Amino acid sequence: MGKMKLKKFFLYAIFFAVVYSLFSLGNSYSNDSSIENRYLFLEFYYKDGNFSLVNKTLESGYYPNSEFYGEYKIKIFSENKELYSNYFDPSVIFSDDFSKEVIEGGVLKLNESNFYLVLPYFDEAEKIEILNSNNEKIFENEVYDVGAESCRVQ
Amino acid sequence: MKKYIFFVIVLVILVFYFGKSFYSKNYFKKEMGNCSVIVKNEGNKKIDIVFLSDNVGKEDIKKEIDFFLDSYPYSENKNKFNFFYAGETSCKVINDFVFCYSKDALKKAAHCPNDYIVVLSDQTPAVRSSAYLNFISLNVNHPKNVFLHEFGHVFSNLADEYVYSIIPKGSENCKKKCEEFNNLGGCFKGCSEDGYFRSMENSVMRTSKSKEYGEFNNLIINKNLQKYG
Repeated sequence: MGKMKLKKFFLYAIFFAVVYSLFSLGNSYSNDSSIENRYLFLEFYYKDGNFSLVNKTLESGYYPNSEFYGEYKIKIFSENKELYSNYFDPSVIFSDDFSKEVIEGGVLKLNESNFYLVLPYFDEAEKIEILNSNNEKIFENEVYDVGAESCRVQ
Repeated sequence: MKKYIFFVIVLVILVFYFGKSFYSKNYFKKEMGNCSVIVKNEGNKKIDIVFLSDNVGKEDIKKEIDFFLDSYPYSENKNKFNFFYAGETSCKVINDFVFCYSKDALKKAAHCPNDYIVVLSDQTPAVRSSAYLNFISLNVNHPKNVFLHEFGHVFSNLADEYVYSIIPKGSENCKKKCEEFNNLGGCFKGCSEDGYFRSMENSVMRTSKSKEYGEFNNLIINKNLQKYG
């Protein structure tokens, strides 16, 4: 191999090394920023004041960041502290007939419904609880395994 | 040799720039789907409203937003709202009301910052609009103030001021006694139930002809708006 060819070879090698490392850097940069945008997507079945969890997944995107209203309160806990709480009521649908001057319709009370909660994801989250209007715990489930990323799963 | 160094530096910059944006864009497409900004204000704690559509054009969404932001007290707090568009979804009609709440709509809305989700659906005027949790399903063929009415439910827990309905837990606009309004507005019989009073004769929570919440309800809404910057 001549001197010129060797020089070319080294230049190509450096070039590919630079390309590879920069692509990797770009990739990790993007993934880091995505960590900020993850949420728990919980699917529930509600019947007469009782809840059962149908499905739980970890998704990419945004979760609602406002305080809501309702009979029930959902809480997310780590091993030793409360991380999040919010209100909801899956039994109430407002329906309003705006074709009349004085609106008609009202609240439809559901005995049962399938509904979803979009909640923030925490690495240290262990469990969720649902409390009723008397502040009594009526539902509990583990969430540390959602997305299989918590230390306990790993 | 200088030529080589210059070439390598330019290449490094290009590769880093395109490498990063290649991954970012691919990630966004794959995981984040489409989210278009309609109105965005600078700052952290904003009220993020995401629109989706069911056989409705984007022009109708713009009209809803313009009407909303022109209505008091939101007109005085325009900078507290962001509006996004997250694409198409499909709605059902259940018991004469339009209901767009679904896994598909929620996951699409999650591509955008979303505190409240609004789906505009093209239905005949007899089909009612509805609100469920933080999710509003609007019949686009209703008067524009239906958005104010449903947003009053989800944002400030306002009860219907027509009769008959059910007062949601914790709702503050229907009172047992007139004194409870603290002389803000008037006092009129009938607020969801016969035995309760409302503070305005014909507010948007009662009639399709009004775009006003009334003095007392504005106080409730403003209290909520103050939580945002």
